Amino acid sequence: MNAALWKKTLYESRWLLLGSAALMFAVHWLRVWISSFFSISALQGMFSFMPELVEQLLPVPFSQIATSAGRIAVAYDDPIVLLLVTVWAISRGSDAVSGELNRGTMEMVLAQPIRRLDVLGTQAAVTLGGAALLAAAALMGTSVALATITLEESVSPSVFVPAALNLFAMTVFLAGLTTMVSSGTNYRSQTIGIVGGFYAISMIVKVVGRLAPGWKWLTFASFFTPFEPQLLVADLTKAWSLSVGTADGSFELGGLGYDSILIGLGLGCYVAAAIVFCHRDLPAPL
Amino acid sequence: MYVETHSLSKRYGQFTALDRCSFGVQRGEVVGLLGPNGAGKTTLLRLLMGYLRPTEGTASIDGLDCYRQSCEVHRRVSYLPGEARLFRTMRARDVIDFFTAVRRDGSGPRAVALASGRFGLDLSRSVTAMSTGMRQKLALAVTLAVDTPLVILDEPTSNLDPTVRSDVAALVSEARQAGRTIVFSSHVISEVEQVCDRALILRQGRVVHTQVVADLRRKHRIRAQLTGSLPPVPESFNGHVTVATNGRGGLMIETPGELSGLLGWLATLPLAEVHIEPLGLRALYDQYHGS
Repeated sequence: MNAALWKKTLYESRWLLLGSAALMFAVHWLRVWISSFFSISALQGMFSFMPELVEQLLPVPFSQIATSAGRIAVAYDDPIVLLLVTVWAISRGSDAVSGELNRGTMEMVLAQPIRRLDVLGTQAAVTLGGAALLAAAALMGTSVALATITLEESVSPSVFVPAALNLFAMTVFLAGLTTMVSSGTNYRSQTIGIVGGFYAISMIVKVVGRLAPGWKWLTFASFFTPFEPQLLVADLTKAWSLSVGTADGSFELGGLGYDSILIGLGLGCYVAAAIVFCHRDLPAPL
Repeated sequence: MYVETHSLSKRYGQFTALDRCSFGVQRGEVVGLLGPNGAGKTTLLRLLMGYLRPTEGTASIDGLDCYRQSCEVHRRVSYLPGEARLFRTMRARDVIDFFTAVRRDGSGPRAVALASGRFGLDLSRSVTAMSTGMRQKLALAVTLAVDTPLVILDEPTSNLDPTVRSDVAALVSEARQAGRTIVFSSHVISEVEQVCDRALILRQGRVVHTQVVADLRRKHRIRAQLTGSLPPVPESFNGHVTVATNGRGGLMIETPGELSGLLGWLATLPLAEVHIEPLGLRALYDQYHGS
């Protein structure tokens, strides 16, 4: 791959990446700090007044959230954390093709002896590297906080590795999906609109599938279903397995299964993006 | 032929952007593409760059297929798009650094000399803070600084002031003297006439006329007002000159070659308000695109 292309891609994404990583670290550090103010028994008492519907919406029971590890794990699917990885994945993915086309700079870049695959490959490498950095910043935030803040019960930072891995896998999927849409569109806003719509529908589908009796199958249609960082912190055996047996004798996916699905789908989307981009006509700058 | 197309066509549904275009450019030749907006000039150049897949026909540069071997083709080509857009987050110097580092034959010092020396650009200025003309000059500098056998310029002088237009024409002439092949499109007929060896006139996606510019320079047009009746054209001029009257006393004579033989006969005619002008590309262009 071309060094100048690497430099340009890193240069363009540097502020978003550094800003997001710093925020990611801060959110996770803060979560541990805030957790240190509450006792487990007080939280258990508070949760006993919560309606059952709320518990149905959560991936883990209240009793798990009341523990120190459970409270800290909430940070891994905190709305701010989701926003950070979503903004990173969608902004970089949409920039890969439709962003450059939209700004008209793709024409000048591809006039050089650079293969289209190299342009996409560099973008993908920086985006996935950034996704890894964001997940690492989350884990780092938790680890540094656990090392410096005293909690009611001791928690090892390694407990949160599956959650960070799951966060990374979700970012990979979202970045791959956005890049695939981007590779076939001419406007960045078009890409963001399509992926944003898909994101919202996926979220609604998961909530409906979880709440409505008889509609559980709907959850399989949402990419949020294999994104369960809190669940993976609660059950470490499940977290480090591809699949686990259930009480009724069937099998369900484990943490590595979740990650494999998300990363597999994400990489599949990248392959589709490469095929589309390498074969499409490039529109003249508009 | 260094650049060659055979029945090259590009269609978008029912719309034909380029229709069975066949032409060739020899090594070291400067060829201009003329035509109004929508004539197919940019489509033709973008097909040569491999940005578009031909609906029909082939295009090759140095024997390489422009679409299938586009990366290899780009090693031989330096291209300036019609709407050259540069990275707005960068300074002019960073843009030059990128485009000279991205290819092995890029020359930073040459690009800097062109941009700041010849075009007078401030390289510390951000691309966002540049005017359209400044950005065009910067794009020209990074394009012309690369030492490739072929240069493709899509309307290189649009957005430029007359002084810089002359600079561009001079740069094209220098590139030609260095033995480089140049294909460029333009709306400015005088520019094509000034620097090109050959001009291709396009209309509605088709090449309707190919003109060697040197031949055109020998052609003349004489316009005058008849003050009496027009005597028969001498037999010696038959087939060499075209004589036409407009019924209101207007006379127009076109000659493809030497004028001297014709001048003696003209002196015998009952004429007033005689204008003799070279039959330039404008007249030819107007035959296809005039109102």
